[in-house]
Amino acid sequence: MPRRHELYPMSFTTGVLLDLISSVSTLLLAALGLYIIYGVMRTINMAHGEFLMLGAYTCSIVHDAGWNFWLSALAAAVVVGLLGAIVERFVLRSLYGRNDLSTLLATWGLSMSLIEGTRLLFGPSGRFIDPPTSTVISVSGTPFPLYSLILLLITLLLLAMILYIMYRTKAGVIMRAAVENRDVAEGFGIKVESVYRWTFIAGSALAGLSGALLAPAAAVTPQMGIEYGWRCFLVIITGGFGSLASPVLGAVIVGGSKSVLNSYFGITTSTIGGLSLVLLVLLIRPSGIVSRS
Amino acid sequence: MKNRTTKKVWFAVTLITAILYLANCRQPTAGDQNVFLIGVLAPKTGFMSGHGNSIESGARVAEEYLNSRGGILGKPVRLVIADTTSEPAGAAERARELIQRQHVKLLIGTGTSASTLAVIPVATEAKVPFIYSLDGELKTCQSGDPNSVSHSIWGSGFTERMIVEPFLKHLATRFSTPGKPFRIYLIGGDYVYPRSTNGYVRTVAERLGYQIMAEEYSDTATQDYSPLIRRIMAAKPDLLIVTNPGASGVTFMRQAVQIGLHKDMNISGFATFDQEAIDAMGTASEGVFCVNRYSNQLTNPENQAFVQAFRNMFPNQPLLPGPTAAAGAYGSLLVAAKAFTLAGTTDPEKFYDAMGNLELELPQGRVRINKQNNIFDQPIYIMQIKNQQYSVIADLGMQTHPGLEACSVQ
Repeated sequence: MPRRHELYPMSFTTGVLLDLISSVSTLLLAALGLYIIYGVMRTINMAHGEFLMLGAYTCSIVHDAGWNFWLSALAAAVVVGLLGAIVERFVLRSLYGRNDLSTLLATWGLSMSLIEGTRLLFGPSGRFIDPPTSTVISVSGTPFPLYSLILLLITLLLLAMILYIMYRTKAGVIMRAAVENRDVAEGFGIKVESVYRWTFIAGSALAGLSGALLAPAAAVTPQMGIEYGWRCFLVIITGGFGSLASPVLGAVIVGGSKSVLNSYFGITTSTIGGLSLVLLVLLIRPSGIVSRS
Repeated sequence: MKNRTTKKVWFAVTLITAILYLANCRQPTAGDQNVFLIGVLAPKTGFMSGHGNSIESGARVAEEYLNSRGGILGKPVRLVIADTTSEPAGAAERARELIQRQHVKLLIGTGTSASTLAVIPVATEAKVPFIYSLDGELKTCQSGDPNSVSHSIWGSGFTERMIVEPFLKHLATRFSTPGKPFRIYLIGGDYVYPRSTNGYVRTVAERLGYQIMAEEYSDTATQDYSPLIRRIMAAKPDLLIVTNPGASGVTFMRQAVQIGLHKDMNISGFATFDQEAIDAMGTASEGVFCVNRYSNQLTNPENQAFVQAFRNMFPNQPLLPGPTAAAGAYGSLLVAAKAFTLAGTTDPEKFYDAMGNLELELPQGRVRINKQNNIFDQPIYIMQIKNQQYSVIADLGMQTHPGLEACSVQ
């Protein structure tokens, strides 16, 4: 059999770069909601992957009902945001202030319930949704789906929006105060529980939107969120919680390394190599690359 | 505070107990002496859950059919469905429970080769007949003696030796460029079935003078196939064979179509394009070639009756019925019922004798139980997926597995 690199023309490097950018932006998009929730609330939402999954299902169902793709994706954000409001009220609120293991267990149970509930309602076989455009553009002779470019732009836009809200709005100031020191914030009249509620809703809505946007390139099945969920956790743990640079760098390490290694050495090697790199980073920086002191 | 916590705990305990009770309500028990219990090992959770749902559905249609004709040996048939969780350990544990607690007379299922291999020693030790109802490599030899056929294990699906050579020859005739070797790229999930199937494809292809350009395997949980897709596009094979059953195959195809892979080459696969996956694959499956023993578009009377019965029982399932899993489970039960009737008893050795060379008309056509290897000899069809339906484009006739070649039982 020919060796791997003997098969490939010069455009291989361009392809590697494009796949790297696509992989990082996809993972970042999926992880943003989780980052916001843990960054503000210190709450581990083990059901984050399932929120993505429900976003994908919602988008598919609404799209099949006749709505266009983008409105369906927004609908997914609204639906999963509402779910987040319910979960925060009835599952998480009574657990605030307790150790992380309580919320971890509670949201893990929620995760399993959502998977099995979806399977009961919609069956195990899954659904599909086509991307809003099937155009393939050429970048230096290398094909690249236009939809992947759109996802990258949306991810950058969402990052910019979050940055703006966090550093240019009153809501952002309140949120950062609650993160910095809960007791002092409460002393200044900030309702920290209200901050937590809205943060969880926003994080859930982001997860739903992400799931909807990722659905065209995935198998929309009840188990869809499992793999996304743990990879998002890797991004968060690797990146740390210092700033919005954290999930970006986390996505670069987790997603980028896997993509590049996959291009040159295959999928199995990329999985081992990518995880080894994460371990190495955590050995050197246990709190993540960008973390608050 | 303490009272509220106590109330919450009692509420949770009551709820869980109620759910467990209701979940088990429908299951018959070993205490029912007047029923013929059959264990169905179906992956209802995990990456093969689509197949599990189909296995159960097909089995339920068979249950109704058999009971409308007096059951088996004068007793109504009752299925006991057990979730194997798509994992070998789960499959073996469920098989043990079905045999030891429910005292089933027959086992059918599972969803993967690894799960089947895990169940085989359990069924063999207990001398309970087990018909694995999905396709895959031969698993019917005796453990430790690959030249002897098992007296407890049968395979109702096809093996790679029954389909690969006629399939490759047909596609090469259609798509090879005169004067150049027919070039094939193989990819698959990283577990038993894809590796053994693709391994045999490579052997046959090289014997026929075709060129295997590359052979790659990926974790079934892979989410990003872009680098692999680019390698395939750069290689420009005449044929891409995708052996990625379940959700992983869906993810691959959806990403492949987005980059435009399908425009550049012919795509086919083994088990990847089963009906259970098409729901999630959608338009990404258009134009794909596959080889299978069943299509719901076959026009024989047995299939028409099966499809009608399936639609009556499961009117809300959008694409009916799953070709490998549902029809396979259905056919396995009908064959087993005939064998028990011929044997006149549930004695496993008499059942084994009755199964030898038994013939029956099933939805896929006439099948014959090959006494040499316990595999169902059966007709094989080449199909192309059009509008998410399997259009039969060639009938390869009755295919047989050669002896006990390539048995994967250790």
